[in-house]
Amino acid sequence: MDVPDSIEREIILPVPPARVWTALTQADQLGAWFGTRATIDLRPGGEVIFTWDGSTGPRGTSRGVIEAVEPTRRLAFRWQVNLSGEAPMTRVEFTLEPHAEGTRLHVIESGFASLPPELRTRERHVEGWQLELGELAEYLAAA
Amino acid sequence: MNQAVLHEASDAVFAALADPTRRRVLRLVAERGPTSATLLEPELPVTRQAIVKHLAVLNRAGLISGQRSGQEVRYALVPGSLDEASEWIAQIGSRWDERLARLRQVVLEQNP
Repeated sequence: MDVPDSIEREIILPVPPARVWTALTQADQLGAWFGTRATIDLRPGGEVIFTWDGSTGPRGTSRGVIEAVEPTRRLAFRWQVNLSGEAPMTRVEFTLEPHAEGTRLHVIESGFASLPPELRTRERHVEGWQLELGELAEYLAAA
Repeated sequence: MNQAVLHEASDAVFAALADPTRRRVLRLVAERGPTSATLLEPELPVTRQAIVKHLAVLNRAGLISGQRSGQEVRYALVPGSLDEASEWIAQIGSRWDERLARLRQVVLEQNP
């Protein structure tokens, strides 16, 4: 059972880790898959800023701070989970590993359980609810 | 249940889940079914007294409920109590699914 504090995903991409690294760390490419404009100062302590223009969902800005930069292997930052311009709250970490088919990319976003409740409420209000069941709910249903 | 009450309930749930040891206690209660502080003690790196306190917080948040059994209280998971929290997390997870699908397109399109 996963008590909801973090989200993990893993995908295999059919390109080498160096190619994936570029997509994670070059502003234009990062922006392309985050669905927004991005700027990134790629060094520990550097700033990463995502700006959503409203064309693909809510308009807003999320600022983050880079925590770890290990080229082609690991990238971590803290960022704002909501779009209202408040302090960074959750931590995102990407890990890249060579794989027979290209690259195994693992992402974990953690720290949700420690968020102040008003942030979650606002996020919920902005995004509305999607009644999807997470792994935990599946576990509970099966229990 | 109106929205305000729902949010209050959810806030108590998240506050209860903010502590890693408490998450572990909850997980054990969920997996074992009705269980007590005494039964949980060998499985956790904290004192029985600390477990009693964690169980009390989880109980107040409505995540588990207790029934007296002789000298001790046995706790079980309250079905459905984590649904709202897991829905919120699932929503953020689905956003990652969308992002990673777009990342795949980006690396394929721009692969030399």
